[in-house]
Amino acid sequence: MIARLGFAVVALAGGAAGQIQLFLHDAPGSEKPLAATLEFGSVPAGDYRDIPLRIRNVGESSVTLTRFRIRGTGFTLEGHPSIPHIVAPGLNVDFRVRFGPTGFGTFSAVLEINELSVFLLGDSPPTAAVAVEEEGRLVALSSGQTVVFGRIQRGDRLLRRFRLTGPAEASVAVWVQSLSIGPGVFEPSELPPLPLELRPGQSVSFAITYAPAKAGIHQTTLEVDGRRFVLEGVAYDPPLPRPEIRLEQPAYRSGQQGRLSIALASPSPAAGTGELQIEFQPAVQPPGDDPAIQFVNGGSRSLRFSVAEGETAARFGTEAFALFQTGTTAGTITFVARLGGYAVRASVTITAAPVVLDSGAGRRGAGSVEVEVRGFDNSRTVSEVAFTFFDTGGRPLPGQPLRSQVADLFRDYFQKSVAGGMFALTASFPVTGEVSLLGAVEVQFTSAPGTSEKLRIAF
Amino acid sequence: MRKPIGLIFLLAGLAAGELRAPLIGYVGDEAGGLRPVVGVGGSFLVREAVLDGIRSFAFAGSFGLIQAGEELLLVDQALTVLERGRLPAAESLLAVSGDGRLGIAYLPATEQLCRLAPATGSGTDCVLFPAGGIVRSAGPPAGQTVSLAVERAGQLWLAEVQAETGRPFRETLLPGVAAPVLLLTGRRILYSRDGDIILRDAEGSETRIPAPVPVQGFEAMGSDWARLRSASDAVWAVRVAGGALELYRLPWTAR
Repeated sequence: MIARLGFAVVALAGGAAGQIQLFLHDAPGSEKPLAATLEFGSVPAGDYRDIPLRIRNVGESSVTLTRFRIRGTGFTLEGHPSIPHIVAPGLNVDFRVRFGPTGFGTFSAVLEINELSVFLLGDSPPTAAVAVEEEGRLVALSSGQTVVFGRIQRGDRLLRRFRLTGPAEASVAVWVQSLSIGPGVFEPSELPPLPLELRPGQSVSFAITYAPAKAGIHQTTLEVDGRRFVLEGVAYDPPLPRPEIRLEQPAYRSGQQGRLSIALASPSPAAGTGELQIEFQPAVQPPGDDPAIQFVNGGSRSLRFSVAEGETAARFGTEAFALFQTGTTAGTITFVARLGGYAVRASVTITAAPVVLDSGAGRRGAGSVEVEVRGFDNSRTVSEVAFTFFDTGGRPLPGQPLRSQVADLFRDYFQKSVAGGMFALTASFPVTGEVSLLGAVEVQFTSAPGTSEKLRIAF
Repeated sequence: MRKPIGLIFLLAGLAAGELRAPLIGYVGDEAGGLRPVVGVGGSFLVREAVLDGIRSFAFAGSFGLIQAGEELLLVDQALTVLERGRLPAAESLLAVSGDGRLGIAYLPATEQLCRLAPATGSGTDCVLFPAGGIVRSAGPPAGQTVSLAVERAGQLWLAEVQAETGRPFRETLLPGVAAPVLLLTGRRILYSRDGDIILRDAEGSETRIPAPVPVQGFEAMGSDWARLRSASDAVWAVRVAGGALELYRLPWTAR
């Protein structure tokens, strides 16, 4: 009787509606003409099933939708337009019909769109209702619904209780044939033996524990007699321990390559990465940076480091130490280690010192000698340079040393230099007499912190 | 009676150009580039590559010899080309004299010794040098004499060769010396053995320091500086200061 009524309705729709047609629209770009009866199949009470439909105006003039409803129980319209609604020629309107039985039994209804009608049919077998405890109360679950366990630190555990209940309105018991949990980090406990008979109103509970060993978003499925529920949890790494910067030496001076390590206050409960940076505050006037103050392993002022789970020290790539240069400018070098929520600092003061002479070379020419001196002035206050020449017998020449006031020369150089306090000074000396009798020269610089050690350069 | 020495002191009038950043030399990078290294012992700056497409190079004193493409270039410290000549694009060992008067390239494939001298202005001039072994290093020429470290039957020999003729006039066994080896000025030899870096002076006395990594070879960076070639990503440089060795690691960022 029901089926015959449905046929009659659709036959009427096909003739009278004319301009609008109804399609099943279950995939993008797909339109399948709808049959007289739209079957929803079997849907357990508490669950629902949506079927996407499409109205298309196949005529050459606009159609106004003035009737858009479902007559009957268990079925509802979803995502449909409010009426009246005008559909231009060639255009479509998409919507869904939801079958959501509230109890078990057979359900039917009629979808009416203007003069178009479709018979809707579905049934709901008696099944156990699935619910989860939420803050002390039971929340019924529908198929496909996600149960969010929450956010915990990995290694911790979070238990949720579930309950299976026989439908109270059923006159007979229902049977739960299968209950399983997919692979992952959700562990069931207190599972009832299967098959499980549930009389009307009878309940059985069980537990599922979220036990993540690694950080991340975890999902799996709980399946009860073919109905699937998504279980989801989020795990985060435990906080990383406080880093400690350990300098290999208690004090540093300019022109050094030093090492530091990063120790952790306790074995790291997780792997992680951090960053070590150098900040430099020069103590020279005018203030000037020193690009040589940098990490050697990395060639910059920023160096990434990693900590492994269980370790008590960081690593810089494959190395246990960060190698750094103190440069050639007086000031304060500050190391900043950032790990997790910590930012730890350690400073090194490079005090102003007399000029350091690194190397030198002397060349005899025809009627002249050339002296090249390499070194650095970390105070950038060179004022005088003195040359003492010796003959090949090691005796100082008369009138020595030769002194020159070079403050302006060096100040101009340091203002333009991008090499910190480093310099190479070349000085030429015209010579009268036998150049080959010149054996050596001693060079000494004077700056604000004092006089340098003498550098003896042989010709 | 010799005339007494007199010095005219002009330093007070020095031009600013006579002060500059101290250039140690050059290192090759993984992309065939040549990167200047500025610094003093313990404080270095490795600049961006200034030349690309370099096959081989050597620096000594204030001069360098560079093999790029099919050219051999004799340059000063600022890489100004002083002389150029043709050279086959093949493996070579280069050396340049500290005064820039002579650059030599030894080509193992053809056993040729090629010279490039700005004074001649005639480009590259090559002669045969049948080494009778594997040439491991070419030392900075002294005058027209070229020193080559030749490995024969597991032993290293120092062959001193006339650059114009390719004729050796003296060969000396270097007992205990093994490749990798770098011949330096003043008949000094830098080599690595048993995990050490060793400097042997002209009299045969040695100074050694532990090598930070297994050394595969040496690269003549500049006057008194050599880079250690190794499988490590780290770039190490050794300074030969008189009879002493100093080891440093250069700040390095790969391109």
